[in-house]
Amino acid sequence: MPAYCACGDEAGSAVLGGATRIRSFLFYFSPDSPLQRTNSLTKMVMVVCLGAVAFMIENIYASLVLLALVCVGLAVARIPGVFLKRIVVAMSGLLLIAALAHAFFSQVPGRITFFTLPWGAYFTERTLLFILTFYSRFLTASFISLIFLCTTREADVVVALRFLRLPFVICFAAAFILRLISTLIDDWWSLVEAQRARGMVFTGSLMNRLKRLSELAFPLLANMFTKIGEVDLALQARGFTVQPVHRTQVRHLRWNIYDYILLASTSTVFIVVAVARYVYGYLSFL
Amino acid sequence: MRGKMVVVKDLWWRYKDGQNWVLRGVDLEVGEREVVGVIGPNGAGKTTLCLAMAGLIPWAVTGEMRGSVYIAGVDTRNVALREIVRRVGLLFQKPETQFVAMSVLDEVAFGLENFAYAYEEMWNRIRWALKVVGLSGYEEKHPLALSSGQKQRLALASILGLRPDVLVLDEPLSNLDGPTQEEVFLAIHNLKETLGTVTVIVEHNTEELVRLADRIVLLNDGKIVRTNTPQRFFQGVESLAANDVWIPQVTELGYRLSESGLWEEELPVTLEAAQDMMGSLVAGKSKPMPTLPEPQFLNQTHQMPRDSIIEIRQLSYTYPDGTDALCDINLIINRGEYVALLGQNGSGKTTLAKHFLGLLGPTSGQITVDGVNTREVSVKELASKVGFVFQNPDHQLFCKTVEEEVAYGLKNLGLSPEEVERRVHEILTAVEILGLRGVTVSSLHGAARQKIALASVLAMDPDILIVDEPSACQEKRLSDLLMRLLRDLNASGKSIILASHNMRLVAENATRVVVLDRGRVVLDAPTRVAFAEAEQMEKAGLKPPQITQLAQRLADRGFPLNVSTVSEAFNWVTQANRELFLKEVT
Repeated sequence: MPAYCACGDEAGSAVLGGATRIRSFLFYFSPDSPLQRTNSLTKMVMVVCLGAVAFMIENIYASLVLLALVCVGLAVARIPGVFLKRIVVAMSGLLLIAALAHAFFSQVPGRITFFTLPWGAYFTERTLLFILTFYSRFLTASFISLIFLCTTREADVVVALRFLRLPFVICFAAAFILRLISTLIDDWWSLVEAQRARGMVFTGSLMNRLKRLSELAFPLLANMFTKIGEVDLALQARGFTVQPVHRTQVRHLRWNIYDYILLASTSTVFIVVAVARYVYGYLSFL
Repeated sequence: MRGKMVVVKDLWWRYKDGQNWVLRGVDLEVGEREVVGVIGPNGAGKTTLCLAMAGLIPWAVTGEMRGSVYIAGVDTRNVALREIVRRVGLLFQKPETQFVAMSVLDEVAFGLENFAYAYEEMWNRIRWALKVVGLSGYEEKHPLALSSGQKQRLALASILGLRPDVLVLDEPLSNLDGPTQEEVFLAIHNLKETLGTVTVIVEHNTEELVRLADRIVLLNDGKIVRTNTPQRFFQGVESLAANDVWIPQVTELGYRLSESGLWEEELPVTLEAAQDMMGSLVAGKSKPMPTLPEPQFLNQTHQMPRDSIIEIRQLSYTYPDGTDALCDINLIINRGEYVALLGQNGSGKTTLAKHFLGLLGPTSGQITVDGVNTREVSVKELASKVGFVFQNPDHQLFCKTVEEEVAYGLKNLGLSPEEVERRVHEILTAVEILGLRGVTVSSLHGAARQKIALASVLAMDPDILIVDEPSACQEKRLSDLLMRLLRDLNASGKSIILASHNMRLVAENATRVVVLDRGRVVLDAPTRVAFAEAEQMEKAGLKPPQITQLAQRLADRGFPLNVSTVSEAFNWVTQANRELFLKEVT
């Protein structure tokens, strides 16, 4: 029996038709990534648990430790650095802006107040610490999501949803939307390629770039609506119906030792942090 | 109706909001194990007929229907669509439009899952279907990451997996290379023999269709205007040509010989029949044909200019998914050349072509276009020299009106409004769509969109024109127009690079052939020399034009191997016949 499974441990280069990497939500990733050995549900649980942990921890030192561990996770997941670089830089920049903006509306008590803003917010020596903590927590949560998005395929998420016994219509809608996103991205690049081939450049002022990009909105939407109509026909032509009929499935969620280890460790971390934070009052900001 | 799997009875169809009837009283019966080919020009109603036979008309498409369609004796209006599609598998014209999953494996499994096939059975069918279309080993690839030919094969596999009683295939061979066409044919033949599957194929490639079809139907303007066995169907060459039908090359040769009084029997429609005709015509006297001097072919007298316009040195390219698409390519294309890029699906033709315009940058090696390294200039600068006609016009059109679309590139080049106006008018006239000037692009379909895509690139008057597997090549009228335009451009000194699976067009137009196989150049030679290299071509998974195949079969009788057009073969046969006649007289 072939060993195909959601994020299967044997779905390696042998089934990639000449390719050596697998296309995830965001990037192509190496099939020998350790996270490829775990199924998509395990990874979803990991994202939820560690994401919650990142937000529960308010202590700056603990938050930085978690961020460091997640960065190690990014390296271990073998996500090609060249693809990650841009997104990490962009994400870090955006979060820094968000943290600073948030600080302008904060009222963090401290021993010294540097200045007070007309709308009542004030800056103390602890406001800087607050900014750093805010930044660290959001960055950690973003990186955890990034690990998931870079090592999981859309199709595998649907298998996990099916495993959770969600109604087929919901699983299918999720799959359809995810597929539509892939199609939209592909159409987008095709149109950009066609524009570039006719001498268009995406450089210049921000306004100029936005104007150029907005030119693509109409054909992209027109293409999308046409495709939705065509896919609707294709679905019906292959026996699809939203009515509750008996269906089988070719992919099943497979469990192995790595899934159990990851599930046990992430849920333990989640429980320990939750208890420490909310029962014993540790890991809080002040 | 007994013994008939598909019966279309006086079928009329008009789309919602449509002014005209698309189908106008179609009557068609397809018996068990029968393979029926449907041909006809663009807009004849072929795709609509397919939708009706698959039950999507009237169940999933809105419009007005008169008449009936019966599948296995059941009126499609009286059963649920799901029950119809269980028996009828429909392959859509554009493969991308039927993809619903995010991997090759899931795509083939989709229909099987919907009909609740058991796990083991599902796997057996998936493996079989992927093997048939040559996609074993691609299970985890994203459908959108496949080459155009591979997409076509995947779409076919997803239908074959269901093993329906009736297969309705809307242009299944377009964009497929020779060996894959063979595999698909074999699969259809096997389904017919083992499961009694009925097949209706809409196809422009008549040379291949006659090998498979038991009957051919010509649809024009929503009506069936002719139906017969392939042998009888192609006897009326003049009326078929008037209906924009591709005539098989061997039939065309037979027709020209009969017109000149050399052949009086039925016209051949297959290679085997043509071989017999030639045997009885010129070498029937059981002696080898005289050795004649090779005729002066157009290509051989064409003097190649020597200055290079594209130089490629040790070019390699690897896609982000790790696929090595090009490996160590070295190639020089001269100014004014007409080069055909040939190769199997996924051999690297499009990847290579995109490098010429800088749309892709080499992983290693370098390309210079008109003396400029493509790494050192922007795509915008290259776009003024290199025009690129994409395969799918839907990926190329983004402006509101036809006029804006054609003017888009000209404005980017910074031309004056007067010059833009002049060129738009000129090119719209050349591609015969001046009347559509102010029309909204999104309201147009088929041939018109292909013409707009072509016009938008030609308007920029590039020195190098790349035409990447144009779907326009499948339809005869459009293909004739495109080839005429390309010939004129080439005659005015422009370099043309044509990637196509249509060997007939390549043989008739290109002066040089570059064959790619798994990302490497395996053959680079003048067109006729390349086609005569039977072994090399076969290794690269390519079949020469039908007329060259005939020449190769008759090689032991002295027929020159490098004949690549019907005219050449005709001239040679008449010359040989005259020689034989003179010999016998003296």
